[in-house]
Amino acid sequence: MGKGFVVRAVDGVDLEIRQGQTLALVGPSGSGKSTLARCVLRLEAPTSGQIWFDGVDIVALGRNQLRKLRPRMQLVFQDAARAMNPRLPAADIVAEPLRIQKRGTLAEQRHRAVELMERVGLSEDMADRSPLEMSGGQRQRLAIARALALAPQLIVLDEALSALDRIVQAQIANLLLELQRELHLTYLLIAHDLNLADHLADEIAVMSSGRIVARAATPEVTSQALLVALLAAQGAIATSPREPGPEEVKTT
Amino acid sequence: MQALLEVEDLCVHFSARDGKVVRAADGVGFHIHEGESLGLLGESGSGKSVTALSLLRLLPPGGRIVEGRIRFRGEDLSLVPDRRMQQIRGSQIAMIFQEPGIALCPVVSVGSQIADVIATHRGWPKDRCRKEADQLLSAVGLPEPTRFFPAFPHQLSGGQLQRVVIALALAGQPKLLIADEPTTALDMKLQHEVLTLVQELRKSLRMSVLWITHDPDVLRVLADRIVVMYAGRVVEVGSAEQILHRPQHPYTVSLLRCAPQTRPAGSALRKQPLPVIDGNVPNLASLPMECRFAPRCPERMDICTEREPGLTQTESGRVVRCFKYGG
Repeated sequence: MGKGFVVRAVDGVDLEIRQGQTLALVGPSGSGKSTLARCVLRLEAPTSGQIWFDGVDIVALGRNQLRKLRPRMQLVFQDAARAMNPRLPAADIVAEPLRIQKRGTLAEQRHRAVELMERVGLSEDMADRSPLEMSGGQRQRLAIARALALAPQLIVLDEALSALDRIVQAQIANLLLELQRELHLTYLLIAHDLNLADHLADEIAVMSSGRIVARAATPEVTSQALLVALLAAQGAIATSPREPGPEEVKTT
Repeated sequence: MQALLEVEDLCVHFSARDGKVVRAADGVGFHIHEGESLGLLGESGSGKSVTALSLLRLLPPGGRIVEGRIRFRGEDLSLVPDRRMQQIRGSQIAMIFQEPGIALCPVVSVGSQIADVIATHRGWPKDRCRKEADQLLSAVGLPEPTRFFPAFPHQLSGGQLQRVVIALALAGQPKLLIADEPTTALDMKLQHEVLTLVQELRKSLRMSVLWITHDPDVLRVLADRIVVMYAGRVVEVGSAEQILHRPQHPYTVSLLRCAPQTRPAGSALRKQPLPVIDGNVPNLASLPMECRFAPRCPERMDICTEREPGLTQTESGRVVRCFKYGG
């Protein structure tokens, strides 16, 4: 920013995510979640501090080393279509990272792309369809397939489920859980839906004004009441804990 | 007493590029009483937005109302001339959408835009319109007139813009407000604030609201009654309490059951698959002669693939389109 005005988008944040686990980052708009995620991916350079990825401080890496690092961390956005070339058919979009990193022949790339598409629930006949001809849910699946192309260790999900219809959101949440178990993936999930975050995450960190204001390891210390109280006290987000679903209501 | 709005047998079709007909809304019927809040619950492809746009005759090119009646205060909106529709839009029926920015002119202050709407519908002198605009901004939670009236849309946050758009919608004092997913793009805190705001305004203005959403939790706060739609059809209607706590149609049950929840400590259900049905909505351009939910229905019976069920009354004021209950 100009005129000597500094915005502390991310201010003294300490975070840790263990391999194979999910950390959910929740907080209101403008709290710094996306900025933090972009730093983790080294899409932005932090002003100060260290980011250790698999034992290496990636803040200190030079361009060539960064290029080698990139395949190991991937990003899925809220509206994946914005990150896709609409003129490319779906299989080409999934194969694009392979092409950029020069992995395999064209035929091998295509084969891998179709394989990945099927893994995320997109049938082979969608391989030549444009993302514009897909539903929101199908596009997010496509984005996930592309994120898997280079066999990453970490995937940042930046509100990747937020714009989806409820049933589709649940389907894709299940897909992400399956993939995590199968491929031992690590997720950094940015979400504003506390229920989703609590369901998918091993740990939740709440951000407000660039700082982490609350943290809870979900399986160990979280009770619904505690989490609600913690977050409400921070004023960080408003929560509406869901009422029990139909099968949990006593029937007469 | 006659309802404020009665929709009967509404059919909206779109022409696809290959000449096929997309049956976006098929035989849709519901009513809204004065001061009542009705939720239209459904996911993408359910026909809920198309239904709402039909009420204001704002269908995109290629879409047309092919059948049905839209009775609003004694007039059939599917038949009135365009000029009459123009009078109705804004003054009798107003609509707000998911993207508030789209409804606002980027080069005019938000206060002026609201004042313009007031001037159009009430013909007051400029000063009076400005004062009223200030009042409206205050009513929607933007009370500092010197700060918010002269602000341009790009200077406001998403939540503030949505409030401005609500003020804009209310400026014509409509009897019916249609809200199409206005909180989906907002974070949970803002979502809660906007919902509470509309609820309060509704009561104080004795205004009816048609709230369109795919999220049942939104309707928990707002709706008196709920209409559930799937693949262009109304599949269930009932009070909010009935639908949200004792859903009958298998689609509604799936929709309510699949949501992730905050769990107690040590819950074995965390990071476990959510109970959800597979598949997608059917292709509305080529619908087979069966229940539209049958391909995905966990309770499918033989008859479900032979023909479509009709609406059956299961309780007073409650109907379901499912062979489980007759039809």
